[in-house]
Amino acid sequence: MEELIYIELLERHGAVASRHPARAFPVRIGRAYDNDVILDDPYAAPHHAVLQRAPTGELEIADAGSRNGLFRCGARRRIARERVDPSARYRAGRTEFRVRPASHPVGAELPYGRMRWLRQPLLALAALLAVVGVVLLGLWSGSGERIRTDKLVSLAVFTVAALFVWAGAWGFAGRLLSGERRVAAHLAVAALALIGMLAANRLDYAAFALSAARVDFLVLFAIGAALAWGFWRHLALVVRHSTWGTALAAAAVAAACVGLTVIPVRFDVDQELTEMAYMKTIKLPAARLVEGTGTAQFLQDAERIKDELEALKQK
Amino acid sequence: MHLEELPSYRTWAAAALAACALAAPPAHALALPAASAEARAVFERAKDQLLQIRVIHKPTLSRASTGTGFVATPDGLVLTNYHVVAKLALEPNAYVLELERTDGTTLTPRLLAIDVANDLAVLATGLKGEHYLAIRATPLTKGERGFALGHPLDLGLTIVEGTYNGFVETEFARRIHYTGAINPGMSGGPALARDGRVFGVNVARRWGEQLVSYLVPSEHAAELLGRAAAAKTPPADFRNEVAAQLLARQERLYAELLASPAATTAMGRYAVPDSKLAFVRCWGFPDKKPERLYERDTRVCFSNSDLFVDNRLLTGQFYFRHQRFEARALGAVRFAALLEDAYAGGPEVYELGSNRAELTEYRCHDDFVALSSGTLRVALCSRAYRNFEGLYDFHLRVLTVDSSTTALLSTLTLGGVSFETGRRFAQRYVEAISWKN
Repeated sequence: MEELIYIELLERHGAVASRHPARAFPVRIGRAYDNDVILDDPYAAPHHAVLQRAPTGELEIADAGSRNGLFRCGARRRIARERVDPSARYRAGRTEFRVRPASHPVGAELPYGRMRWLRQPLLALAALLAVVGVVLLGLWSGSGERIRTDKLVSLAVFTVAALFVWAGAWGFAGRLLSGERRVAAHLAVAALALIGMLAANRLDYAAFALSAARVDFLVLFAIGAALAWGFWRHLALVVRHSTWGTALAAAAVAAACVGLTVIPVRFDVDQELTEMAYMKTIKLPAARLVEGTGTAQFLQDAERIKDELEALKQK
Repeated sequence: MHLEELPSYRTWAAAALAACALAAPPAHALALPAASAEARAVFERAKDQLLQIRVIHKPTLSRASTGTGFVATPDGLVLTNYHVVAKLALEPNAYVLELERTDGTTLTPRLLAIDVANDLAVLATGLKGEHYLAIRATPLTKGERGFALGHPLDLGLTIVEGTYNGFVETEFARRIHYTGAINPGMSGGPALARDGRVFGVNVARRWGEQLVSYLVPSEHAAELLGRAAAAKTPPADFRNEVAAQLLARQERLYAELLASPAATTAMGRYAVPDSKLAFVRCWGFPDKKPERLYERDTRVCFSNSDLFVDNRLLTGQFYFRHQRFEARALGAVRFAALLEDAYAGGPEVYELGSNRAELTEYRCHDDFVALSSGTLRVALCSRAYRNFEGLYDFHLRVLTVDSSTTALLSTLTLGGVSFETGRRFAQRYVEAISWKN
């Protein structure tokens, strides 16, 4: 008895659109209605490809005389006749398909992601409220003036609206790529990432406490990490299943975002001549951990500026 | 800052000319009143010794600046302002001098000597046996009449009657306060007493004010003429000469600023650096807005010691500012955020020039500094002059960081000092700050 095989027509994103079992050969594939597998594709020939058993018993795929040709996805050379590779994707016209025997092995099921908690609508609501709180707190604590209520309200409304637009855009992408919107989850991700970035900013307390401007790097790194996490979760929600590649792509995008904002400052691109690069972070007096030096020592240390300027003059 | 070094040309000259034509009085042949007769006599005697000075840009053969000068010795030495010929002094290959006498003849002189601090220059014409305008040795008395001559706005040789008002009391440089209309283009022209002798050289006017003009006292002119006559040949490189004169002048300024013990004045509980010198002026700005939850008092002090080097470079600035912050109903976190903003910088940082060809970028050193009263956050920034060896701009920012209800932010700006002097001054400034706990 012949082994059962399946011809799987694929969607653009790799999902299976339809499966056609076949047990008798040849199996003919094409647009015409007398085929075994009928393609709905104007670029496919009426009789495009054919599957048959070679005398040795191997399954073969062959071009049935099409004009556009039969291809293995990713390769440029037309196939005239070759042995079927169950892991390969073939293309006839604009239709992609796979040919697999019933004995084709499949892996174990994927475990549910550990990030399923992100999909709780209540979490989205809580995160949204938290972001509004943090943003309003930022406005309030950054000002020495009485703050009018309308300013607070408009900032809150703007924040919520911006997050919804952002989450909606991701949801739209998800609808296209995997058929699921998951707007609440995107909202939660965006809100948590934003809180993370705002919290990362507060690492500047360390810069003040230790009188160490270099802590700026830590702040940037933390902001980049929060940003990368956000992109990673957004992408993972959008694609059918996320891989290491998804995480890498998110990290790359976050690194690019941080880089684009930092590089011009770090490398003096179009720096104003009046710009002075001293540490501009001032925090609560109680946050200071290091003792001050004496004035004489301070000015002794400042002597190094002269050498740096000498080097600048030579440039 | 408030002084306008008189540049050369203004496009509204034509409009002014039209207005003058409309306002011209009918030409009655009346006997002239006494004062005008005097001006007329002074003008007649002096006009042939006056010259218009033009600095010509060689590549385009067009005027880069114009001013006035006058023959000051029998062997044809001409006096004018340094700022009229500054371009030529600093870039001798790109510019050439041209003189036009009142009779229309032109001469090509060479630059012989400069005095940057007093804004004077001497040109050699090679003329012999000239009539010249003698320098007056005795000073005038306040209220005496004077006559300033020159080519304002390129309108032709003009005489301006005015009043001698003694010396300007609030300038580091010695300047005569002359009440009379001195306009761009008259720079370098003589101010004559009734006897026809030169008592000052036109140099500047207060911008936006009325008839407040400045003259360089004639004794500086006499001194430079003496030096030029003795030297006979110009220095090999005027740029080095300018650098040396700038450095010497700035050291003189800071010697004076550092001479007396550091003065302080009270701002709330703080004692802050102050200056009792006449050429350092201070202004206070109490600053209360109802929506603010804090108070801020500002005291600003600056010296009138700016010095023109080039159109691209002004130096000699000396400026400090104290701001006292007092939280009224502001919590510690919000007060710290307020101080962070203030410490990060404001518009006063941009007062000094920003020409890349002249200056390097700033480099800074910052740290906590412990004083006996408490702790400060201090940043000291400096940048170097690219073309004048040994000169630096300094900017110092000091913030007290020991209270959540009150703070002092103080900034100090020094334009064009030696590194050592700048550092020494910064140290004295920081050490003068104290407060009661």
